[in-house]
Amino acid sequence: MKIRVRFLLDFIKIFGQNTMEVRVPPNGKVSDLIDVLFDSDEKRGYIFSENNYLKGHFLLNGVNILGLDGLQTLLKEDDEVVIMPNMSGG
Amino acid sequence: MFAYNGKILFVNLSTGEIEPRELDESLYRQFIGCLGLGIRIIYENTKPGFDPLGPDSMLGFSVGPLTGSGLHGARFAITGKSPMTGGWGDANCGGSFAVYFKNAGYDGVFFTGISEKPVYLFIKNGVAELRDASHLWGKDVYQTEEAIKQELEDSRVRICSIGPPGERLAYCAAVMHDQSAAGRSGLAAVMGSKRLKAFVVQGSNKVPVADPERLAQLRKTFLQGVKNVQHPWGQALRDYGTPIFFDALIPPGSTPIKNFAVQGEEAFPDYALCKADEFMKYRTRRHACLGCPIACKGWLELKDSKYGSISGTIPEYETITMFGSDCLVSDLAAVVKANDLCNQYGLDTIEVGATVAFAIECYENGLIDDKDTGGIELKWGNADALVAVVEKIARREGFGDVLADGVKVAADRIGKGSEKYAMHSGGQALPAHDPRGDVGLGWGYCCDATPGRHTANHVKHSHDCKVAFTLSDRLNFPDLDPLDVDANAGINAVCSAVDRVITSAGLCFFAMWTEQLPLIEAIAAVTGWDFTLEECIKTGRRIDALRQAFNIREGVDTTEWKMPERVAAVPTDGPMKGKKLQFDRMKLKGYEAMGWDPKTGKPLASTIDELGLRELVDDL
Repeated sequence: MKIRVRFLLDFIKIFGQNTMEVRVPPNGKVSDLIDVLFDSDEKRGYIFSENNYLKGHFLLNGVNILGLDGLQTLLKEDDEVVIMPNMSGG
Repeated sequence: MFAYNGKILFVNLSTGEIEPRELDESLYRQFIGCLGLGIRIIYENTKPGFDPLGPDSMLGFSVGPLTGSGLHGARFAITGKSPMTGGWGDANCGGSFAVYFKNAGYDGVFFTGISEKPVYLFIKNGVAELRDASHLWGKDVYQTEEAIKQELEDSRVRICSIGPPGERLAYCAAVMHDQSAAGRSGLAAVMGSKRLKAFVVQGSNKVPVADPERLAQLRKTFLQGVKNVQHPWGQALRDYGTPIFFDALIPPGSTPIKNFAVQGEEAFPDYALCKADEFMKYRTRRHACLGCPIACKGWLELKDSKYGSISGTIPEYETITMFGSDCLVSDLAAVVKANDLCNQYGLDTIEVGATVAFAIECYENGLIDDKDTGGIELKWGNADALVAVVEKIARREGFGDVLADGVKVAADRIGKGSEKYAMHSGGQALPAHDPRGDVGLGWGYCCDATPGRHTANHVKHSHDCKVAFTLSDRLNFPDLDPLDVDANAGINAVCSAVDRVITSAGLCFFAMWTEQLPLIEAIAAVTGWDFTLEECIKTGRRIDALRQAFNIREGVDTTEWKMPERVAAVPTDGPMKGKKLQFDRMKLKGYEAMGWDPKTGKPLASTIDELGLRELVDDL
């Protein structure tokens, strides 16, 4: 199934584009999407800390996946996932 | 002694007496400088229970050992008793004042008393004099700066001043310098209560450092680090300044929208009109605090807007949020105008923005009406109303007088159950970071001696975000779930201590995201001390504990400082849907880890002894 991915800030540079359509298997999860997009150790380093905590925000249709089922959150056709880094300042 | 002038000034504004006092190096070593020096001097030299706006109140200005070192040290602290919280207050500010202040020959100036007529203090290369400011009283900050430069016939003097809101003791007021603000804690009202219009410095005597070669080496590495910065936050600051955080923090829900009621892009799609790129269209030049290679600030020119042509600083993230998304205003010109009004009159954009958002919610819910507001239609997103009400606050005019002392006092004045719309902790408005999103800052909201501060807990927040920061490789904290309160409390205590040392040294938090900031090594190089990481942490804990001891001494029950109900709740929609934070437990475990009694917030006797504070803190 087709998932729309929107990158923000650093991830635009990493992927060289603002948006992308990604195909994941039917009944795919966020983790499947991550496997497709972050397909090298270098890329996985952008989103996972040493103990595999997410370093960035993954928003599924506007909701952070941490408030859903995390990486196990199920996706459905035409979902939008926003991927962006953690950031803060004053 | 290196890196310090070794002396401070006490200025009694009631008598006009100016008394220099030499300080022992051991005091500097225990408290470093800036806010550390401020709490040390003020704790010792004030009597418990004093009125923050009375003659016994002491107001400090101070600098640190890295001020003027060429290593990003351009911040100074203003310290005293906060009229907003009734406890400890500090604020800090960049620009160039700190360097000129230190070069003028003093590490701190502490004002007491109340002058019979308005005055300003002028220090030039070690010589201090109080000068009449009667002719400046009532003038705004821009006019004041211009007039002082003219009468001193020196366009290069550096000035901290207050405008009419500070003179009229508005808690929303800020002490201004170079269109930057030392805004939090209501200390501009303390300055106004003393009839101290300005503090002016001119200095050219650079303070020697212990090991100039080592410092030059560290500086070279640091500057190279900034030039080639890979750290995402460092890059963002260098390229855009803080407005980029508006782009970055709206989507995950960290940026307050509609008085902290909602979160995320869908809650305020028009936020795109105030994204960083929009402000950059009007940027005329980048601007840096003196000696800072990052240069996160900028100037803009907005020609022929509906509020006229405006030339001034680009609003910071805090300002864009508090006047923008928090009031549902997406009109860039209105945000720029409101910011400019605050700079002109001397107002804290955070407290003012929070108070306007509160007032809008009161208006929308019928607690106040046009009669109360003087005809201003205070509706969500009404840009003209925002500008109009900020101007009223600046003048303490009509409804502006109701709002001028910040969100807590405004709620007390309006009554009718309006407290539930007042987003504050302990009397001070929450800044532009929802603690459910920026959890590290939330630890500061819960545990710091000054509640609701965006400059209190950036080290912990950096750790939570899993990004590198100065010392992160040496602190080597375990990689944890940021929401695990018990596991994070000890880390927060250490992070808080490091925060205090960064600020007390005269540095800016933004320097720590360049990966090359040699905090410990630089303090050692300038002072000649065998300063270690362990000493750094213990020193920071000492400063934290004494600030908190001040709160306890002044009778403030900090355990009563709570998150507003709305902010403490679990979001039912938006990006943070379902995210639950245990703020009460963060306070409890946070205090415990800091060596404070979790039930009372009082630093434990063992903590007082361990930190060498017994002699000073014998009155708790």
